[in-house]
Amino acid sequence: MKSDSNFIVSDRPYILRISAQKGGVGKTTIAVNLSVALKLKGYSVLLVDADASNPSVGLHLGLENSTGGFIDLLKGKANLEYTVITHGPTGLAVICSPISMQAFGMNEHEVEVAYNTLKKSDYDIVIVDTQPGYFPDVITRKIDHTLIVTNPDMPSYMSALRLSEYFSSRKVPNMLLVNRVSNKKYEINIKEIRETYEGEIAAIVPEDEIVPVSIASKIPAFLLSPKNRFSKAILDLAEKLIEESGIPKAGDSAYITKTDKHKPGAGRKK
Amino acid sequence: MNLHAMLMSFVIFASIAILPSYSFASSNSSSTLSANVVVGCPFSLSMDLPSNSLTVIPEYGNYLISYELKPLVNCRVPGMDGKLLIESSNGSIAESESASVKSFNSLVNGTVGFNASELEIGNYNASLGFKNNQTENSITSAFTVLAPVSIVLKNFTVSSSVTIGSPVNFYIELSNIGNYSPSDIELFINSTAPGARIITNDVKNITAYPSTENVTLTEYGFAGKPGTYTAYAYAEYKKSAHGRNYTKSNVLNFTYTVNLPSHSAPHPITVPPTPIPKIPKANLTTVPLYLTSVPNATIGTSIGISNPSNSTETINFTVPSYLSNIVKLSENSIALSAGGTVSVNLQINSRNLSSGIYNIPINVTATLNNRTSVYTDYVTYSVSGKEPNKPVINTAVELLNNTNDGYIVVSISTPSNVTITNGTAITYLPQGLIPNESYMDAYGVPNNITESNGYYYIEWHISKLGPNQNIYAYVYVKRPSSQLLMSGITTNIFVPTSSTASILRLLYVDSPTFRTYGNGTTEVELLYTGSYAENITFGLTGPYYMTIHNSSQTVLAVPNQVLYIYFNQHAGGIAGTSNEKLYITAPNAALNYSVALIVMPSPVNTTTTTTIKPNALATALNSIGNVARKYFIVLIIVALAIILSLAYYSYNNKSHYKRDRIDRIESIKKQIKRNLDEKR
Repeated sequence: MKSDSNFIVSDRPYILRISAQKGGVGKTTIAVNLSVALKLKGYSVLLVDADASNPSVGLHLGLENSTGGFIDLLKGKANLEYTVITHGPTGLAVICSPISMQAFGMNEHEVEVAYNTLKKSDYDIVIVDTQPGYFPDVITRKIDHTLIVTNPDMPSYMSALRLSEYFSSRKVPNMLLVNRVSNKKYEINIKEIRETYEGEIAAIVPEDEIVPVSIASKIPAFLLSPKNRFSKAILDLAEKLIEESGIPKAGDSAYITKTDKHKPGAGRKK
Repeated sequence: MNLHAMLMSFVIFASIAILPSYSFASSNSSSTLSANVVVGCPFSLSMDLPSNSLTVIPEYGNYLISYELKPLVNCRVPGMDGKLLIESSNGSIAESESASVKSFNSLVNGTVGFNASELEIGNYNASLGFKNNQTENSITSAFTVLAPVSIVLKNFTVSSSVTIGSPVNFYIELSNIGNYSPSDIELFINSTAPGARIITNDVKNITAYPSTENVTLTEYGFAGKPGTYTAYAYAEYKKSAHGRNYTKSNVLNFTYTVNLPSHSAPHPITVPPTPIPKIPKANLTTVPLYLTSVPNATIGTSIGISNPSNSTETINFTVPSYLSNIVKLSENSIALSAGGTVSVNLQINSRNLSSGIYNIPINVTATLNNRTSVYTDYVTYSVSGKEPNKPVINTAVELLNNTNDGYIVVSISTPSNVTITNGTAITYLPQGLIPNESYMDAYGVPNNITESNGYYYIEWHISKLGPNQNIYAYVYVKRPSSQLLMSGITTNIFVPTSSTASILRLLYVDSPTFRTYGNGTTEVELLYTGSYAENITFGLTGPYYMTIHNSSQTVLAVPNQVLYIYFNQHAGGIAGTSNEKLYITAPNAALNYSVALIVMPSPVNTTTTTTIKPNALATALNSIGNVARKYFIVLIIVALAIILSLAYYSYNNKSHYKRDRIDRIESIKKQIKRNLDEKR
């Protein structure tokens, strides 16, 4: 694994963690739609719902009836292939988390084993949607990049700044995504964010009514209305991620086996 | 010389002198030989190779040769040992087997075997001989050991240019290097392509060596994604007509690349849909793609097939045995005449199925002149949760006629305790599916189509549907942009009921006091607290003398949204008090509300009428001009005021760059860093 400017270049799969210290900023919306965008670009994508407190990937994709999922992987009750379900309309591979009243706990060892399993998988990209707050240090060693999601308001931006400092102190590459921007009077101006945020700002995603509509209809907004401004921002983010992260072009490594990818010239560009 | 010796000498002499010394019988079709030797009690010997065949196949293993011995005169032959020798063409003994007979005075027979699997391919002699102290006899028959069927695959290639979704042509050469014609040859091709299935193709008419057959197969589903794939080909066959087990040929592989289309895709959503596969000698005209249902319900769809060839074909439809209780086909086997078409109904019962998504394979086999093609169609079947005492809506999506046009069938059925009166069902089509409304046609049930929030809304108007009845509505979608979006088509039904549901909360209703022949607006405020975005229909009815211009309005509400609805009304000439009825319906919820209606008589105006002499035209124009100017100036002033207000409002409501806020953020950042440093 080596660093390439702000991005990490690593062996497949490329693990991107969607983070926020504050809840309700749109992590899952971004995770779901970014996953769909990358999938439709031809990549082999696994979306993992690792939000123990309020899992909602299933609600976005109409897979809310799934059981087990990430908790089974975490607790060693099932292998990766038995926890992955396929989202029919897109073919996206998804590991859901059960919707229950009680958040499931996880210790460092379980988390490390689960992330090791994800890192050994054959997907091009693994996107992990996480719960708000911090997480065990062990994860920082397993992920390639973190996308911190914030809204243009003081509380969520402050928590994003804290999270960015936290990641930077542990040498985890991170970038910021400002979600639900409607340029209202009470919002922090984007220029102010650009001036005060020391890391990279990956995307500015506008507020769009298609998002609640898509959640209600269980069809990702990117699929439902591909030409609207929200989808355009997600597509730009996906392309930026592909271009700058060193993920191979779709198809280059689609069927490289575990053995093949260690051969010279195979897999990710070096 | 004693008497006994003298007698023996006489018998031998007499035998040689009287009887023909040797007889031989053989033909091309029979290996029967007989020999008589007059020594002691002379006897004849004959033998038959199995099935009178002069050829044997090594894989048969043991071959039994039957033989017969018979005294030539009225005497008893003593017991004898015999030997079967299998002699190769170069004179070496390949096998030696023993046989024996007990003393006999009439016909006896027996068998002796040799192991064909020990023999190499070539020509052999089988020699069987018996002897005792006094007599001996032997017989020889020629036979050939032939090579069994042996299929060798060569020259496996794939069409040179393969793009996503295109058919893949597989070319392969089958050679039979055996001396027999095989039976039941099946050619298999599989691939590392995701979702690719093993295809089989029967090749039955390949003859014995040195025959070769070139096979070309055009298959879909082997190019679903760009990348490099490896296809594998092999054959399985029975070595002979009597063979029980299948033998596998050599396996060949060929690596091919699936490319993106030469033109750049304008947007990732335009992934080319997978075309409907074609079965050689039969065309699928309708393929089920996606079905939705609720538990304990039955949904029907169909598979259409046509026979473009000039002879009758046999078409078989099967589902795996584990689905036999769930999937029922109207036909399992059809003899389809040349040029004919047929539609096979498929009934899927969701009884005992929990909610989820199922893939149902349906095997379609077309047989013509003993050549069989097999195609498996997968129907995605989604079972959702059921709400009791509600109409059941099923949606089926099919693809048509190899054009990839979509065909949506919405069936609405009522359980035994539900009647729908003036109900509305709405089918939602994602807007990304088609370029515009002209690409779809909705029929079967009266409907109208609107467009909003990323969807086309097809409203189906159901005047009445009694208990245990069903109706069907159809939508034809021309060239859908993506099959993926077809699965996003859903239908909801809105049935007015008298029950009040908590998801609709009427916050405010205000109806003005009308004057006869006057206008007024009734305002309604409603809070929608449902879990999903749904369409809410507002209706207002009043007495005949009230004209309600927009008496029915439907708006899409997201959860926790307050809706503001206005009914513009015009009162007639009747004054008095009455009631108007407000109906609000949402999926699974409805409420009624009575709105008090007060119509006051218009005030009586006292006017003085002065008769004016008609003005000249110029005076009239001038008068009109003055009025127009006055109103125009007022209009300009009002418009300017509105524009300025909006501009100010818009500017004032935008986020502005603030230095003091930046200072605040920087200050907090310092605190964060300091805090982190302290922790370290």
